[in-house]
Amino acid sequence: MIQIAASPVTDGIMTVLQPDTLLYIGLGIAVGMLVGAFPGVTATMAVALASGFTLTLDPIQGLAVLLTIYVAAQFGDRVPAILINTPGTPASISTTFDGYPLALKGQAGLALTTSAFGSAFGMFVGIIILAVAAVPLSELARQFGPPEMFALVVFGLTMMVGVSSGRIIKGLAAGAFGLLLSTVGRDPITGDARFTLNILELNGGIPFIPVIIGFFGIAEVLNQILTRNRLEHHIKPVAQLGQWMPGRQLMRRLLKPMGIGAATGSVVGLVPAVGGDIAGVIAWENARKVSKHPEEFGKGSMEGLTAGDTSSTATLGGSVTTTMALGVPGDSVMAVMIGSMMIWGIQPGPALFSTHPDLVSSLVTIMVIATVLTLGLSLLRMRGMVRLLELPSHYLWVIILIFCMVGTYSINNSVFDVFMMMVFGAVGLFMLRFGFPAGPAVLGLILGPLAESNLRRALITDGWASIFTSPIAMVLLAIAVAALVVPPVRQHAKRRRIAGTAAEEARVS
Amino acid sequence: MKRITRSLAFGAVGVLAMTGCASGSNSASEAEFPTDDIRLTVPWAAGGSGDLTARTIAPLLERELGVEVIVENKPGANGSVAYNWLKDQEPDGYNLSMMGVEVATLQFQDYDIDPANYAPIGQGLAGPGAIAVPTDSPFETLEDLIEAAKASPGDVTYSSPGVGSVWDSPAQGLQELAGIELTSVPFDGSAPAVAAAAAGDVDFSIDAIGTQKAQVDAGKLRYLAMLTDERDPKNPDVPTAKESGIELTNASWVGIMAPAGTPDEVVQQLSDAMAKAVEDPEYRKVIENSNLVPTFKDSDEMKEFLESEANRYGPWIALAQGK
Repeated sequence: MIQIAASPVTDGIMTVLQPDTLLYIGLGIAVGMLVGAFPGVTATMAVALASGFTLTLDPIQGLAVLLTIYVAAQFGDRVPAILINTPGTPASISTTFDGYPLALKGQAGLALTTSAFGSAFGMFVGIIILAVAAVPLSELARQFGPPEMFALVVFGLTMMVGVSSGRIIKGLAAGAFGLLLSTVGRDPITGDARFTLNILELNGGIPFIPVIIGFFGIAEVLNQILTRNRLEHHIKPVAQLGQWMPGRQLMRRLLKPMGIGAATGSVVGLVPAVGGDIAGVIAWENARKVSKHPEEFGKGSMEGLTAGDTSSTATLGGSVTTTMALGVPGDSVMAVMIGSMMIWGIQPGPALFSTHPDLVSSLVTIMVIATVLTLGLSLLRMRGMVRLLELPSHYLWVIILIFCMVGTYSINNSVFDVFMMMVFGAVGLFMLRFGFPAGPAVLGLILGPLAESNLRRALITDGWASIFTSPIAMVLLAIAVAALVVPPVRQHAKRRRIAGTAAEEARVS
Repeated sequence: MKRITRSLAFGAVGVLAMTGCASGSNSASEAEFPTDDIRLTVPWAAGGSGDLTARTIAPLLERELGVEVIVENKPGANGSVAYNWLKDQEPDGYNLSMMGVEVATLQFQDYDIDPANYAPIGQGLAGPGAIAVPTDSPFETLEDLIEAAKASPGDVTYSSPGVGSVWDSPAQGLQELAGIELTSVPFDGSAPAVAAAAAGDVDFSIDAIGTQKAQVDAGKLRYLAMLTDERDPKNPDVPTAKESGIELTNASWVGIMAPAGTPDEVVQQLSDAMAKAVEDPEYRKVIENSNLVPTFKDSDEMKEFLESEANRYGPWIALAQGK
């Protein structure tokens, strides 16, 4: 190997570039892509299971396996989202918004490739942030106490309007339904049971992954079964439809959504406890607002797909930063990883970067290698994956149903979760048939508990003053209000202008 | 297409195999028990310290018992899903579960969990507690904190990992013993609770010494008092709460249990195997690296311990709910 002057940075890189470490990265990629593609099996679970086997490894090798699973799962989970409308992990919820419509239009191949490029771009932006600005940015994350978290979540909730794809009233109704569902379980502050109906499992709240799988995957399959005759000619044998690589013109159009996605994801990733699921949705909505073709969003927009995917992977760098530099898990995967790191004798926390300066460059190197290899692998593998859609639909339905059930069961080894998935599959079918979008309901379910518990924590400590005296919270709330108020006002103004000009013309003639 | 299905199937098998392949058959034991695989249920999600304890101790138990010990997570509803499941299993020693203090305390929060339904096997570790304040806090001693709380009741806030939890309850005890009123801000687990104290969102954190350690090492938190009988050997300068006249000690703990009715010989055999596992240097290393203390109590000691924990926590939880 080339001899480079020893510094913590090169040391860190060199520890990763050992054959055995690279082997572990390969192992992580294989596991990560598989679990990503399997609905219900989340990156959190895969990392948790793998952590049992990496305990005896040396820390860098162990991190190589765990971090790589995390990275690779982010690519794998887009595949079922695009092909069968079922997010492989919650991080690809926004992928279903445009990815599946694109697949129905016969552009599954192009959607998969574009999504992979977007994901890789997001990943690199996140990694750069980790590499350059980990320590100062983690201080920003520390500013996020309960009032700031509450404001951020409120901002997230305003996305309900955007993901309603035009049906605002029905979207808000679905969102309220999601929020209502999120109140089931134990009260986060007093511990009292709420709406648990004496069902033991409901004490933990309604499990959101089975709900997501039910709303998206099961509901879609049920709907297809019910409308079979009309749909027979609808799903085309996509694999023959030529275009795989996005052309230069398309790429240029996608630069803006990629930028928006990367920026959104980086910021959201830094905030503890919020992950790719929310980041994807927020970026999707941000991109829609600035797009020249907002009407395509939700009906198969490459821009929407790219923005969401770039954003949800861009959170990784932020999550890792927050976790390593604050010792507070950036998301559920990192919560698991903290446990493993402590066993290796690495204590994530503010002191980490000064005591282990080489660790940052090792982390960055692992993530870069994992991203490059996974991107390559996903591009290679996709042609086979898309063939899946060529199957006669009745085979496809059975496969999807079995996958969803096995995946859901394996989350907690719980039959109750499978039952919930089927119940919410039926609810999702009802919503689909009557035009209630599932996106806002899922947002409500995920964000509801965060909004409630953080608001109440803020109120306990200092009352409403704790929110009004926090500049970050006030700015976020102002943005949230603007997000709600500006679009209808602007639309109203536009309508009046059009009406005005029409009246003018009428008068002239 | 076939290839895809097949590769996906392989993937599924692979993931499943990962959970099961931590085996290693050894010489068969002379006794009749065990002859079959043992299932060790974890009532918490994968990845926490309780889960890691299970995964660390399982191969060691395999070595002692000569059969496979299969770890399975059954999280949900504060662990009560797994506890309820265990209650209904055949009491033959082949179905075990990890346990925490909730076995003794959930009954006080309207859960249908009765410690009498279980036969404890043993304790595996303890996480002794501490009170820590932000580094720039005006409180230099526990007395300062108590005085401030006396001067303005309810104004001093603390973060806990959740209401009724192993750390919220001793804070109720502190209020009772010192005759003060504090305000609890419950978080969703220990990590965010300790981080909130480090960021200054609350006045103090009450949690395991090991959980607060990262923030203390980084200079964001400072130990105020240890909730231990003796001073912590790693932090000899920090006084115990007892030294300030507050007779409060508390530690989180993790153990293993079987359903009630499991034959005494089987419980004894499992307990002996667990005693050896807890002594194993490999186990000690993993637990100590997680800033926890490998601690063993046998079946009888655990039975008494569960009872005393229930007696301690019951009134504390009632106190927390009364507010």
